[in-house]
Amino acid sequence: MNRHQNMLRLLPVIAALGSTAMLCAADAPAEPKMDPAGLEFFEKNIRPIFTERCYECHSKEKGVSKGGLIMDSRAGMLAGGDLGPAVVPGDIKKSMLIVAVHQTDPDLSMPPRKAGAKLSTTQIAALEQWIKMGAPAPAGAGGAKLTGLSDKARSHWAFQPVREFAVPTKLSNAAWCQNEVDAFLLAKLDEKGLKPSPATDGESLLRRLSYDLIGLPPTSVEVDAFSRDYDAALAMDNMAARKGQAGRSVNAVVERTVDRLLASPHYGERWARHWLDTARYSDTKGLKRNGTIETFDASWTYRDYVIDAFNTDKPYDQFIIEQLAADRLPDLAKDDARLAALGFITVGKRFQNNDDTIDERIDATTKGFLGLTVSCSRCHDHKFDPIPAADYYSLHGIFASIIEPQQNPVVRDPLLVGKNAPTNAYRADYEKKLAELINTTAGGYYKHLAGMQAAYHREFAPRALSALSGGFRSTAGFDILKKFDMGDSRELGTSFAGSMNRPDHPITGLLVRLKKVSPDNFEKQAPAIIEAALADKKIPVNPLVADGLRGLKPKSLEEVAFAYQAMFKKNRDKIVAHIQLRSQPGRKGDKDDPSVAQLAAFPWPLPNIEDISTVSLLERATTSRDFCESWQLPIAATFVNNNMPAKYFKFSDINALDITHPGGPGTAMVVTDVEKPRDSYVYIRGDRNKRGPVAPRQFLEVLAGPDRLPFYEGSGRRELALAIASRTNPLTARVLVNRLWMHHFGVGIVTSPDDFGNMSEAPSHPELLDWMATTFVEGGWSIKKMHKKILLSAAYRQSANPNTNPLVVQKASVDPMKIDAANKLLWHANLRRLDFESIRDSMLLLSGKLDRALGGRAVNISDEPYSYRRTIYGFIDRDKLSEFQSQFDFADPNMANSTRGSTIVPQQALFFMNNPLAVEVARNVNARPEMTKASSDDERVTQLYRIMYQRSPTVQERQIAREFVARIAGYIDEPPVSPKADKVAKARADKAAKAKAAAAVATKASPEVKIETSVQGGKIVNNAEKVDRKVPSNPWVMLAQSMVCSNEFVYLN
Amino acid sequence: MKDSNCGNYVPTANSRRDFLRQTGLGMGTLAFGTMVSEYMVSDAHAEVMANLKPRKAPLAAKAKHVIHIFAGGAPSHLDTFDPKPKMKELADMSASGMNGVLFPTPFEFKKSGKSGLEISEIFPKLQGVADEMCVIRSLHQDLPAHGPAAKLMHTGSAILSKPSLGAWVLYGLGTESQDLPGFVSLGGSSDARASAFLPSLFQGASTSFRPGAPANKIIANLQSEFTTQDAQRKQLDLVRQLNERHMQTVQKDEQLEARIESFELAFRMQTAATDAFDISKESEKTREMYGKSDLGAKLLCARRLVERGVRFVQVDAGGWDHHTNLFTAIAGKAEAIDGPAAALIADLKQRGLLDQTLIIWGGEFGRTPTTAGRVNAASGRDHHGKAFCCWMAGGGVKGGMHYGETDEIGSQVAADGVDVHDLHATILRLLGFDHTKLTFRYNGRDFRLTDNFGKVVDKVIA
Repeated sequence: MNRHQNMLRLLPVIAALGSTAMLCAADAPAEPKMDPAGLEFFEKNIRPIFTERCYECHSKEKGVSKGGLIMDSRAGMLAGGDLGPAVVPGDIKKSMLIVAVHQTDPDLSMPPRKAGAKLSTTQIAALEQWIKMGAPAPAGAGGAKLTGLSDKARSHWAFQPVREFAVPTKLSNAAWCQNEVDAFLLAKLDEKGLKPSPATDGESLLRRLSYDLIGLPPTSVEVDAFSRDYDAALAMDNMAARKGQAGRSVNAVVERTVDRLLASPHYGERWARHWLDTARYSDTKGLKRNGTIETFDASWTYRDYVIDAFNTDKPYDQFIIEQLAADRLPDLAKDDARLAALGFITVGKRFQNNDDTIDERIDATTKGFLGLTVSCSRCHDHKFDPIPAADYYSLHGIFASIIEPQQNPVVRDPLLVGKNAPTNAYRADYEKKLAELINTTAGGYYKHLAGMQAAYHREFAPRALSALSGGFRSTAGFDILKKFDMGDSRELGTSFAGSMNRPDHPITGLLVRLKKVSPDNFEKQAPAIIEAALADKKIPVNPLVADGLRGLKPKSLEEVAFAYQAMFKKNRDKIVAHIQLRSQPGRKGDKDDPSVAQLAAFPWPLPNIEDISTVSLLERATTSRDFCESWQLPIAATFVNNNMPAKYFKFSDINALDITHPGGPGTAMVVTDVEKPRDSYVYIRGDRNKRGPVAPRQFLEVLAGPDRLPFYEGSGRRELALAIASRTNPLTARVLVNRLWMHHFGVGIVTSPDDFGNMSEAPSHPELLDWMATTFVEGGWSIKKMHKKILLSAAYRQSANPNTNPLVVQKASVDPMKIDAANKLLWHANLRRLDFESIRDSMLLLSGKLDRALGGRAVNISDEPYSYRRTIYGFIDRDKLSEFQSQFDFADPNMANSTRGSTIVPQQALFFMNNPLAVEVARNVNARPEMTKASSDDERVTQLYRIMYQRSPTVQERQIAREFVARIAGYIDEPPVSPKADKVAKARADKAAKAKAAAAVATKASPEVKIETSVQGGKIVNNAEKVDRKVPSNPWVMLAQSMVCSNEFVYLN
Repeated sequence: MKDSNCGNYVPTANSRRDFLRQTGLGMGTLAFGTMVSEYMVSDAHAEVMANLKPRKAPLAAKAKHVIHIFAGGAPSHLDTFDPKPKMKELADMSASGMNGVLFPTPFEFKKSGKSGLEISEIFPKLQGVADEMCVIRSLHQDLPAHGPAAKLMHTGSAILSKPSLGAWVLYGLGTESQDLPGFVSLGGSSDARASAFLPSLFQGASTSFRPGAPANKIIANLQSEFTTQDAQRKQLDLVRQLNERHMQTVQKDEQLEARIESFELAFRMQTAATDAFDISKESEKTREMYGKSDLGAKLLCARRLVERGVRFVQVDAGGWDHHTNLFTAIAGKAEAIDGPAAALIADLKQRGLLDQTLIIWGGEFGRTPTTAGRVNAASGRDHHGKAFCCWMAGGGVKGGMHYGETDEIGSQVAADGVDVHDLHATILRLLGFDHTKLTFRYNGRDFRLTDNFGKVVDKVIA
């Protein structure tokens, strides 16, 4: 493999960053003085070689240091790259440069083949001479390799302990401050001569609070009540302010509301979604099997766990520990709900290569909890942060020492309790369907095997002979198949060449041994060999094979093969009977004749039905070495891959049942430690085959200090979790409070919430960040308390309109627009667009259709027929987000992504204008009782405004609406649906009804069991009606839809 | 230092507001901004790049549009564009280190055009435009498995979720028509249109284009099934009215203005996209020229899109996985693309668009010089990554040439190897970018399409 193109490498060296080189300029060693003749030799003979053949990949100036090596300075060459020094002055043998250019070591050959020919002999000689001369070269501008392992990188603020800052007291306007948060913010504003903006109105404040905490808008009644209280309180506070006192009345009003919202079960749904972005939550594995997406059995239990954790204000340190090591908690019940927390580890993307899966887990853990990009150190020391590759492999050892058990435990779902819990009827229905599926279809695997074996055994002779000659891919093997007229039916004979390598095989071993006899002597020697073999007790031959061959006097190998074939034919009935027996539950075939069992398990082994009765078991069975030897794997894999499961073993149906049936048990996607946890080796340059030193399982050096101790408890996960969830960890609390802040203000104090390393922008308010981190930890890691602190600040209450800022109003000489256009110092609140979930949830809520049930299996939130469940319950396919999701900036669930974009594209507008959901919402809004009971158009407009915007319309707005209705009415007097279109629609509806009826038969739900979703074409589909197309939108529907389209609907000001 | 982009191509403005003023946003002309995100390491830069306004590439270049015809399944190089005459005598012989026996192509190659570029007889029509084509014969990659290899070809990464080539191009250049998506994919996997960590406005618009399908349903939600366009116009007028009132009460803000504008664009897109996808508007002669097949329609549609300013069109033209029966199967696949591709080249040329439109045809890897078993009618070729080919035309590539050589049996690159990153670097260069400088900062790292790799193949650039 070409070292320059290791595509499996994840997140390799950073290139092309002129700036980054500066990070290490200070570390360059001083260079000795060089004699002029030596320098001349270098410039004349050596530099041209380097320029032409080396700098392309190893140049500080160009910003590339492949393999960590920089060659445009002497220091760079002496320091070398990941493999060690490139140049050792005076020592040709130790200089890797010379080894490389000779190209004798295939792993270390330079320049790479694709970059052209090997260096000429003259050039190599020149290089050798140059090194013997002591490698003279001019002093470069430094240029050791790029690395974050420097004191400078270590001194980065985020790696320093959280400091305790006194709350600022010398402030321009202490009366403005509602709490410490304000004091810190105001201190920064004061430094720049800026002033905070006045408080916003009650309506927008309540909308902010409501969306921020529960992701849903308030009702108009709530808005009225809040605004009334708020306005009154504001008046009182203003009065107090005039007396130079700090008013607290508004605070009391806001606090009541914050408390109410924090106590709502919808709070957990809102904040779990933020965490799920960080935890790269998805319902699919990111792997495909023959084009079909692979779905997790029970990712939703993790999602429910997270919702519950937020609702119960689980202390964050506990939340961390449970997500990394719930299985190692003391007093853990067998069905403990906390086990589902381990989904944090397991819901990530899966890869064919386990090292990639481990890497993904390291990445999610370190970005998610620590705001560190540790996985950058997979192939080399981190380029910017003090994280050596050895530290990466310390974590690698931890995640390499865990496995997922064969059977996941069934756990209680804290959300599915009480009236939310599935009834007995549901459970019974599930059990019944599962049993049916297993009985009628698991047996299919045996049918498949029996069929395949019959074909194989029937044509044993040509297939075996071909396999003995190297299989159909070899010329000889192919010719044999052709000779016996086996045509192109290659599959059956394909993969068995490997089975023909074992002379000790109880069935084919004898054939293998006879293959070695030369054809000329065959007749003479074979009988004796057969006889001896049958008598040899040390290498037993299957008794039925022995029966078939005993006394045989074959003239050729072919005859022996045909004797085998006859033997299989003779025993066919017994074999079939055995396979049938094995397909019954509880029968392991151990009472059967072992010689028959052996024949029946050739060439494909027979599993016990219990071992393949679930999807994960089947997958394991068909891919693990326990089940069959490597040469047998292809047939099992083919079975799963080539749609045979759909035909025989409906493993996808069982998966579908598990992810759709509410009566099924919720399992936790857990991990456990392996029996013998092991440290990993450092893989040089991330290459598994190049082992470096052992990296003990332990925490990161930059956080744990030089005296850290290796982990000893199992894989070390619990110790890792404790180290992360430690009050002395400088990152954990900071990272979390920063995310809370970000979700309330739109931008974090650190703008990159998942990267607090050296490449991150400096925090806008470092003192505040530390104060919040300290307060958070001291408050028992309570997230709800932290919300309150932030939301009760005067800063949060500011108007979002910069034009209300006193300095702007007064046109003061200090122009905040000039000083802080980006509003980093928060001199006003930010205008924020609702995120994907809030938009969809609001639409459903306002239409009166939102299903407020908590928890449970995923539904389809993107496609028709629509579901009315909250968006967090939507199915997420990490490989293919729906158009709806991706157009509205849903976070890429392939890695931790705590921020969402907020793009504006016409496709979003098209959604609001034309998607059936938008129309349906508008229809349902009009069907609400407030609307149908309205006695006049004016009242109807008023109600519409109260529903959609939670406020009353102005006189003018009422008039605009009425005019619109009148204008549109003119357009749709004529029914735009032609008779023909009507016919088409009817035909379509009939077809849909038929399909639905068919689906109903297929799922055979008992009457009291209603199943919300089914799986069609590998996709979750809601069992519901599509939006009716027959009726065109009337003016009122269009009016309501206009409001869904409007900015007022999707922006928080 | 952390804000510095150090020579990377990211246009600057002093502040977001300055930028918006400079571009006349107040007039309601543009701006699909993305406002808040961590990629705003440097606000001004991110703001400028996070919209779809057309922008000039930093380096002189001809190509302004790309049509990437992805021949998924991995077409054989040996039967298409990489002639190996000496293999004729080696039929049925074994080759060291390879399964099966050598399988010389059953097809004749012809020196085509003035240039004499050698093209297989299965592409008679492409032979006619050979002088426009540049074949790269020395592509190579390490992972000849369809999924990862296709992902690598589309995104530069075989495993991780990374932005697609089209998304990078759109990020770099914006798009000329705001009434149409800047990046359209006509079929294909989601990798081929992924924006990954780039803002979602750079992702390719997924379409369900096929000949005969109603043009107004090619893009999701393109037209209302519930009302007339006239009524909808009135509705959008109302929306604008509501929004303007809202802006008066709340605040004047560029996000709000951008969103107002997006509805106007959407309204225009309803007509513009319906029109662009409606190939029945082409003359019968043109329809004939492209052929009335699926691929003919797709390539004709691609031309219509490019003509209207779409930056990047991704066309799915797969089905080249010929393990067996190569003789008939590849001839069929070739016939399906030959006419449409030749027509596309000729048509763009006659319209004066070829120079600014880069056409790329190729798959994810190549195929073995050998067949399993023996050479016969059922012979086929297995996966092979060490050598494969693609061709480019237009967009400032040198026509009538081939670049790179493979060995005598087309098994290994013999000279001038081009890996996928090199190909990507070259494509970006043809569009006016130094691939090392078109970067996007995400989680503390400046990412680029070519990762740490890539070398521009200067010799194919005219």
